Amino acid sequence: MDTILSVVGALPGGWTLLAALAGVIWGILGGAMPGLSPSVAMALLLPLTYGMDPTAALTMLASVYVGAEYGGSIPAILIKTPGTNAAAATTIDGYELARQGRAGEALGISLMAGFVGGMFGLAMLVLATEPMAAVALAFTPPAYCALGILGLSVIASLSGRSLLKGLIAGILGLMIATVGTDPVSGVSRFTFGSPDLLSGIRPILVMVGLFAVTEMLSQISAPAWDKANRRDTRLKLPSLSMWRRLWKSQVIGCVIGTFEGLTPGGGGSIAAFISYNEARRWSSKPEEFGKGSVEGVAAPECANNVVTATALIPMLSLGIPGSNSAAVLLGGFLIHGLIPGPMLFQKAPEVVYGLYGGLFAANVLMVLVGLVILTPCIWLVNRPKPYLIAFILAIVVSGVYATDTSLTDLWVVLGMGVVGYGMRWVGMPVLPLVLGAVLGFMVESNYRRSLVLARGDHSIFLQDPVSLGLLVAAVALTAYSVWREYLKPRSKDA
Amino acid sequence: MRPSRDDVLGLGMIAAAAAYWAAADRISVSLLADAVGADGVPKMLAVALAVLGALLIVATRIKAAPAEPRTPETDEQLRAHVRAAGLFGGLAAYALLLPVLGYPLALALLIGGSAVYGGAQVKPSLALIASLGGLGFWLFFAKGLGILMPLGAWVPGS
Repeated sequence: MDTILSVVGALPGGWTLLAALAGVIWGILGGAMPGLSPSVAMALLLPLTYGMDPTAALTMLASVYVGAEYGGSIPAILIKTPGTNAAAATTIDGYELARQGRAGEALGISLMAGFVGGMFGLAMLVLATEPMAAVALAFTPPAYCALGILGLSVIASLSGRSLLKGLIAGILGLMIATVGTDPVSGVSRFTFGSPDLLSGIRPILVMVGLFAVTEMLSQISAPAWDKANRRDTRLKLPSLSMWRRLWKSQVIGCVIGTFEGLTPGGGGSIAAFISYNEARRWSSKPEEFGKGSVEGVAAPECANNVVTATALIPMLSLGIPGSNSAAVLLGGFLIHGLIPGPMLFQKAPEVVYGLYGGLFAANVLMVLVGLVILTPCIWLVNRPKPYLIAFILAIVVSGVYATDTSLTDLWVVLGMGVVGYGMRWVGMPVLPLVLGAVLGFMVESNYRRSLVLARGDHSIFLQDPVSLGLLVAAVALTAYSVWREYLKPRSKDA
Repeated sequence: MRPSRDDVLGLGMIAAAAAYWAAADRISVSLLADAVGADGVPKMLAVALAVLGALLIVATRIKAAPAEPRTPETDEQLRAHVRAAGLFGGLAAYALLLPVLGYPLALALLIGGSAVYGGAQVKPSLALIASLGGLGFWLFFAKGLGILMPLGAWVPGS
């Protein structure tokens, strides 16, 4: 109760509110630009925070994170290009809805599901930061490895008609994740002498290539897009009956987003994919998933916005950033001489509670800004296709290059675009590859660290209770998915 | 029987697995190496990929496929591949010319070129839009965000 009263007392005003507004606007724009991840959008603002009040500075950075997760869904829905890693799951049904002339509905659902997720995540952040510190402390390398395997187990459900092709794509993703410096010994692997590859291939490059470049390579010879109907694409907030339909998927998003956010290394991408999968599993209309399901938009968007708050729990309580964005925020703390961890609550409680208040404001502002900023986004859909393709390519190549001013990054993205085009040709799903690329480093590094700790004894993964629980969940999830996709008796009318 | 796309994919994956194994085998051994080694997981992945590639070929055969004869690429599909290759060529040219021409000019050419390639009519407004695009993006990234975008070898002092 004291914590809640402190947060209420710390609700922002003046400069902090302005910082939240600026952060949300920049976050939405940055998230909407393929190639600029939330962490990059945050990092670009980091130098600007030097002279700011710490609470306003941290609020601005956290608001970018909130805005970017919603912003990432805008190109995911409108042009099948996730602006952020976490929006990849939204692409599946969001784009299908847009193709059906329901872009405004999808964007409205994304906005409000994100708001629900953001507020739920904030409540979890406020209530659970200190108690959850003990749980997060219990995470060992075997548990991290098992967590990654749980994330990979979703591949079975993302493989569509061919589990084998899905698995192959997953393996290819894991192979991409092995490029760079070996996490244990430090030797370089598959870098072919390029220093730019020593830090590995960032998943955002894989995704921009697979989604954006591949889509443009395909669209260049596809018939012109239908003009989006202005009436249909006007922002459409969910009606009461729609809320009733979406509640289950949002509960799923909230629960999974909380769990993944709390887990260092979990992140919005895993939360979004698992939520999507679970929403389909528990939906009364699972057949609509992949063809334009509103629940398929709500669940991942809710989950990745929950993560914007809950990912801060291990960072604030232990000083362990659970995601890239949390790491940038940690950098913001350090700039102001604040060291996240248990002592932060003793030394600078006003900053922590101010940040909570700032996040509250950011979520409210996200809805308000989102209502205004969507109209120009929807206007984009109706532009002549050749120009749209040209400017999408301009955004992609500019964003990718600007991230690290690296031509190698650009070539990686173009290469992944060709890979994605080839995968489409042979009917191989790309999402398992993305999952492999996202989770590969975490799985491998923690697998090997676990074996170092256990002197090569694999039973460590079964002796650690958290690891065991996660592995059992992964096996159960895979078995159920395989059974559901391949073995479950079909009804006659199915 | 002519090979199906899945046969080609399966064989391709086996070849890729072999190449990946060979590359993994050349990873240097560090004194800090653990029992698994820097090449351990990559080699496991190579084996898994080869096995899956083989399984794909077998599965294609078991499905037996008189019902699924190989459908030859239609002229339309081939044209689509060629057009995709052309667009990729434009993107590759942008990447190659970026350090030489500089960001604003290379981007303007990419915008204009890909719009024309996509079917836009060549007219003065296209040149204007492309030029404004290149300039606008440069102002945003270089001036707005302070990112060092190359101006090109032809600009003195850049």
